[in-house]
Amino acid sequence: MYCEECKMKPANVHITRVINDVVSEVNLCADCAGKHTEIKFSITPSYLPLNLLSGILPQLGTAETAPAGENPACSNCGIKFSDFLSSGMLGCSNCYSSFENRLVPIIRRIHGAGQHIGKIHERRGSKLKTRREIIRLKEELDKTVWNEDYEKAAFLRDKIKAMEEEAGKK
Amino acid sequence: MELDLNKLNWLDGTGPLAEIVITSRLRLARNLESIPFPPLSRDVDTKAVLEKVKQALSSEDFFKDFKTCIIPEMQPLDRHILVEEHLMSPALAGSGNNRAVIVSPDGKTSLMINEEDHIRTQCLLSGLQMEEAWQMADKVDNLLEKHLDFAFSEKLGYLTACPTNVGTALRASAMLHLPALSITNLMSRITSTIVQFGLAVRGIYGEGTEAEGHFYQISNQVSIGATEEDILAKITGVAKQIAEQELHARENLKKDVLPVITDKVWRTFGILKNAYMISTAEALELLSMTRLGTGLGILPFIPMKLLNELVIMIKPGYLQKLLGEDDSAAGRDIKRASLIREKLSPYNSSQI
Repeated sequence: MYCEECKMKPANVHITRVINDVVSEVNLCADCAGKHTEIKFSITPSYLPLNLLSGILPQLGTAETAPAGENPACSNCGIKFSDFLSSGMLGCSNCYSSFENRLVPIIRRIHGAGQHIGKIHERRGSKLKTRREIIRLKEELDKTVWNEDYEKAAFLRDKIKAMEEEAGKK
Repeated sequence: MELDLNKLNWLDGTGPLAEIVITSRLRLARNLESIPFPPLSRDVDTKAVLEKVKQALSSEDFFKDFKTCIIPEMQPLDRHILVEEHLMSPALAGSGNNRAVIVSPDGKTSLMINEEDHIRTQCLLSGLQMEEAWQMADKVDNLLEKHLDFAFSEKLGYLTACPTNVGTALRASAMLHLPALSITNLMSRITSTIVQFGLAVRGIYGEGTEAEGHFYQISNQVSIGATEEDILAKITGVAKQIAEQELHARENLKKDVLPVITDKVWRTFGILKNAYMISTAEALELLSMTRLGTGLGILPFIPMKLLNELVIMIKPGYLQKLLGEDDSAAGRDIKRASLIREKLSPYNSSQI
């Protein structure tokens, strides 16, 4: 049986469609079937990609944040952004700031998020902790105002003000 | 290096749902500021990392009984055994100077130095105990942080060599034994559901390995944009749900095909008790059925700890250590079979 579309190659993909109880059958070759976006099918590849991540990374970059043709290097370890794209590994912690514009969109696409909300260290993270606490208190303040609990709102407002002043001094 | 599985607390077979959830494992990646990450660093950098970590550990009483193994100074076979014991990753066992693993006396905590990241803290517990594992890892992390400047950004959290780990830099995984779901062909459906939750399913020894002996590992993929507690709650919830499904599948096996399963389990037991040669793959498969038989109450007399230990003992590295000189595959197959016969000798079919 030949492909119903190109009528050139043997049909080896057979699709049965049921739309509103009407059954229709289509027989296609692999090439033509590939053009049908509504059809999902898989073929077993003859090889396995060695480093899948590095193959995907360039696809995740965005044109607007990374001008084409530029290939910046990290100011600390010296690796180029293209090195990261081919290996999937960064050179050092400074790479994150050296390549920030290019990396953050990639991280966002890998994880669906780009803001850390987890653990902060005791010793060096106290400022950040205060800032997070202020954000949390402001949200609570909004809620208390909404609930017309003005006494508590005044208390929270003073607390936030004090914390902001304290944070400003540091 | 001595072989002593008693030092491995995670083999105990205790803890919530331990019959199905073999272990809860948690890994926390940390890097030192500005020093190149291990994949690209020079010996002078990895040496600096190792020295700084050693110094930090010596400042804290908590670490005084931890044992340091410098990987390049170890025999390849001993490295292999540490991997089989789940105390370090296969990647750390590879080449590279200044790699080390620092292990607590109970085997619950280990620090891998200069693997993909400078420091990877692992906590490994028996049963479903993600919260407890987190408390341990968090404590170790806080102690280290007192002395080391970790690479951290307010926006991106803990900075890691690979951006797939950035943020919390936490990977939590539960190892599950799912024979009933596997033999009833339900695993593919379970797997696709797990993936929808942003979790991954892998074989027993982590990335790139197959699900030998019906052991599966589920772990989180996303490391940023969620708190550590969120990530662990998700893994715990999903692991509990899968364990429930496994128990349900076992109940159905009992209800629908009890004679068939009983026959299969006893035959399996018969082979394990009588085989003269056995490969790792066959042994894992048969031990999986034995474990299922124990769970179903067909072989109620075999302790979970023994079944856990056997899974490690039958691995090539461990057997090679017992065998010494003889390094033929046939020699290992004979030794493996005799070891299993010996361990199962107190248990016999008169107990039918």
